[in-house]
Amino acid sequence: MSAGRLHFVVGRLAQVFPVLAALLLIVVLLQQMMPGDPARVIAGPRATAEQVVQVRHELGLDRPIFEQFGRHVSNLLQGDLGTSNRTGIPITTIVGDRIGVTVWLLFGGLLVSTLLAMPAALLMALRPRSRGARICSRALTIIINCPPFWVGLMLASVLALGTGWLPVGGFGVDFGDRVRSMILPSLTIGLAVMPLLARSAAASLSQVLTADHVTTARSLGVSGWPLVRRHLLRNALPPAITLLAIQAAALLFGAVIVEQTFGLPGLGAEMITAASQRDFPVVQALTLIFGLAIIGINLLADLAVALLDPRTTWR
Amino acid sequence: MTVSPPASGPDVVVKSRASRAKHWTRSAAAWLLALTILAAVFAPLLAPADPGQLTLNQLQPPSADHLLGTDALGRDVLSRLLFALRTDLMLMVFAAGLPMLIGTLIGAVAAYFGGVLDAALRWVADIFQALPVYVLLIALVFVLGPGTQSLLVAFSVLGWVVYARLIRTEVRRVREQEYVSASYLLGLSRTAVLFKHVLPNSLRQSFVYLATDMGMALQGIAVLSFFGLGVKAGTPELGAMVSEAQLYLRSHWWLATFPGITIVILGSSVAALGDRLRDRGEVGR
Repeated sequence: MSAGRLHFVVGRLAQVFPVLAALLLIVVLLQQMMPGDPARVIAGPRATAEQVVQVRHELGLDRPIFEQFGRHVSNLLQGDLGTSNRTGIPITTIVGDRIGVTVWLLFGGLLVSTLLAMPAALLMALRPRSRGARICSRALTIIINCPPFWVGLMLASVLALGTGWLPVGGFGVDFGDRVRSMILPSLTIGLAVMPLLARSAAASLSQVLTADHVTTARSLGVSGWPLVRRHLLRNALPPAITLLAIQAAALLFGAVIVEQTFGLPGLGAEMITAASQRDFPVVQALTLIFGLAIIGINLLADLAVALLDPRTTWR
Repeated sequence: MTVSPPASGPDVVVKSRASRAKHWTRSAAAWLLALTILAAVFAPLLAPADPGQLTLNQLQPPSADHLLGTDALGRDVLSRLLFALRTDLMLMVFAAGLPMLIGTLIGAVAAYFGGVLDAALRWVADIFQALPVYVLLIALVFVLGPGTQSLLVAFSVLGWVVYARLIRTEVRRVREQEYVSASYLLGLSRTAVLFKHVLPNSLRQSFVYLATDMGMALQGIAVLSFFGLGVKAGTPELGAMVSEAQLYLRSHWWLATFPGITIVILGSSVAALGDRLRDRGEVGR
């Protein structure tokens, strides 16, 4: 590994620490921002005054904010995310039970959005002035403005309620049922993420298209699919990875929406349910988990680009 | 809010048939937007009934009395739709406009005066950029409780950074232009030059982004309200209307369909206007 790339890897890893600290600080501060007494809210509506005092003491809410911060971090390092104040179940158990569904959905969404975005991106990059590309670009503007929860309902009412082919919601028990119950949610989330992916991919493809080595290849008579496969896609990969990571936030947020719409028992649906039932510890822990996931994905993407592209240097 | 406006393709310089077609659809978008704004502004005059009025005519199909039928509480859907448009349009403008105002002020002052301020802004912006904005939006709106005010606070807290970044780059570019040095020679103070000459010439990118941001704010507001975390219960709002219609999807499909289409029209026409603004800027440069 060259000195420039090594410098990048070290610099990028070091950059993660202030971001992690900021995320933790925000998650702890969320407690302070709640209107009213956080101990009262966390103890739940039926708690007595003594219980509230006890909760306040147990959670260290009567201590200074820096001490709370330290305590939170040390709990996390020991793998303790707290317990739900609605059910009393440890949050680590809830996360373990539900993370599988979210991962299924993310992969489904990734698959659908890539399949939908790539033809559109190729069309817009290779024939930017064609009628097809213009229609495509206009369609993307409209699709991006379709609220995913509404698209989900519309798809469910046409494809599931109308025909009975697919389940309207829920997560099946065996493999076949699970695949079937993932079709509509994956389609919904894929449609939501696809326009951004298509536009970003088209932009990086058309940048690659004007590169010198492509002009040379063209002048040597390479065209069509061999040109795309051998000279374009490979060079478009590093920017595409970066863009994919930027969309990770959108995909995760999409998962929150889609899971709740289709009644899939994943982490996102849990966050919305917890929020609507004022279950603060769960919302807090899930904010942290989603945050860590997004920070981690971005880090991995940057490191992957550094590996793929030998020209990478720090700043 | 973290998404930067995508780069556009080659631009309209020659008036080909295709570019006229492009022009035509975008004016269609402008007309649609104008129509939506008018409908929202004059909602109290246009609405055939009080949007909050409960009646016993529940779940009526569309008829001459109720053009879009009535909902599960017997309220006139057309009236609710018009008032919801008003809510969403207003929230969308402020949920993107307030962050723009805050971010532009912070970014312009930091970039123009430079030094520690600028370094601090860069540091904060780098961290913010890496944070999961959408997830924090849900968490923030949750702790603040439902309502217009907490929506606007949450969008402002999380949204200002992009504008601060955009304006920072532009101010640093404009600051070096000759007419800025000329204003100093004419004896204007640094603050006066910033607000009279530098800022107005640095705003284009921010306005282009504003259009994208308004679309995203609309989506955010609608989805939060759909989950019952956004506007207060009972407020006419498009996402909340879709949510209320969920149970009647099989028998009363139009209840969920029309508010959704309204969101798509509002969002797309604002986005198309933003594209137009961006393209004009590129031709001008």
